Amino acid sequence: MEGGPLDDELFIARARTGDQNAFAKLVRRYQEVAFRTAYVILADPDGAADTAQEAFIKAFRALPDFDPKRPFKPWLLRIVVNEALNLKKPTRRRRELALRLREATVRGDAAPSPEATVLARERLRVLADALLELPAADRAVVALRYFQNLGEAELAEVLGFPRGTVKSRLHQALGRLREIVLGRQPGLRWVYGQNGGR
Amino acid sequence: MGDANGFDALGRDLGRLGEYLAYPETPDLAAEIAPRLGGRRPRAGWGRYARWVLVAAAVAAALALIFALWGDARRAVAEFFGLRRVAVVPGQVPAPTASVPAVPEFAGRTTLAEARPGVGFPIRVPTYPEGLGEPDEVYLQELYAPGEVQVVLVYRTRPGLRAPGPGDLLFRLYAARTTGLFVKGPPTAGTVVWEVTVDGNRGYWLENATHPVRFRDAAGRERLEMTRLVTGNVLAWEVGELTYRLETNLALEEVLKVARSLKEVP
Repeated sequence: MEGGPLDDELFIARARTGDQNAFAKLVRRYQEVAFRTAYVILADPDGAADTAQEAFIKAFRALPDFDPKRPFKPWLLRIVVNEALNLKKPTRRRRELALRLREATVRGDAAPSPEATVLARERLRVLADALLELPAADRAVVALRYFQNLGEAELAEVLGFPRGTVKSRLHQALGRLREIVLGRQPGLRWVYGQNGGR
Repeated sequence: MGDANGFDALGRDLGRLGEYLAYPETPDLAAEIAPRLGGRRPRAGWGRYARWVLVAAAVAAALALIFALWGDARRAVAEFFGLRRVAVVPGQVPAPTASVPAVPEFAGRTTLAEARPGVGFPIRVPTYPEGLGEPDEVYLQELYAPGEVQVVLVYRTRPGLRAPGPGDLLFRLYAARTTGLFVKGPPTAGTVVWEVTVDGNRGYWLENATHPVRFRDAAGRERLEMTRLVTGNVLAWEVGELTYRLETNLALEEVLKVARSLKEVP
């Protein structure tokens, strides 16, 4: 659940005075987005919880440096992403990581025939597995853009790049992802092929 | 953001993947981190002032919020700073005009001895710094309602005691009992607002401020004759029904010592 920027400003202003209740409200508002972003980058629930927790503590301490004229969410996500990537670097462990799909009927592009539904789900399964093969930094860009629906400006804010660089980083990440997907399922080149498919 | 250049279908499926990912349940991070914050306040970068809290380094945005709330939400504004009778509002700094005299013109000149019986509350005077002695000027002013008054104690430079900057003012101390509201601001950009405590009472500190102080009486009427332009630092705090303001060029550390040294003089 997210509230409006005005609410954010109020809670931020209070949190800056050391009001932990106000900060707790901010945490509750943004803990899901923080946790889920970390989870996609790390593909590890425990690591994601630790990361989000550390990120909020760092955010609390860094609140005096936060420019209250700017939106809170990108600023927080920047801390989350940095924490997740820093955690990722030293461990680099290959665990039984997985991004699972919900037990729900996946909408296909075509009419909802059983075949289309199965194929659509399978495609997402391939995509989720391929995501794990991506470098964590690429996965962060993809997660922010497609799972958190951040626009170009917000992405630039989170990643600390100029907008032009953000665009090229996203395209690089998508290019690598497509390569991995097509390596696993060459038939998907008809969907994700060089000319955009369909 | 369009994901052209051949990534449209991939982008669409990634968006869909976001909807269908089975995320683990989000832990209650607010509860988990609470003990780790441990009463610690945000790092403000002023180590020895750790007890005092920066409300806003760049005040404009926070004040914009107050401004947005201003309409009928004086209480909310006051709560923001923890003061009921003093508020800071944002906006453009007006150029000093005839109605905003750069040099305050005080009325009600009196003496401590004369003021004491009529004021209706104990007049407390600073006992710091050492050698401060009696105020140079004392004013007793009515604030447009029965029993609502303010006492102004003016201390000027003394041998060994002076404040930075031009002029011979050491500080002015106001003690007001009123149900009106002192409206401070808008302060200049770069004004620092800190929340402080004075003997356990909440207050705030405006540093490097140039701002008009206006007074709205208990009926909400703005009293232009009370409007003054203040340049320098201001500490404002409340003790019970009294509102104290201290205007000076002295630094916060010194001013807090002055504020904490107030004693009732028999």
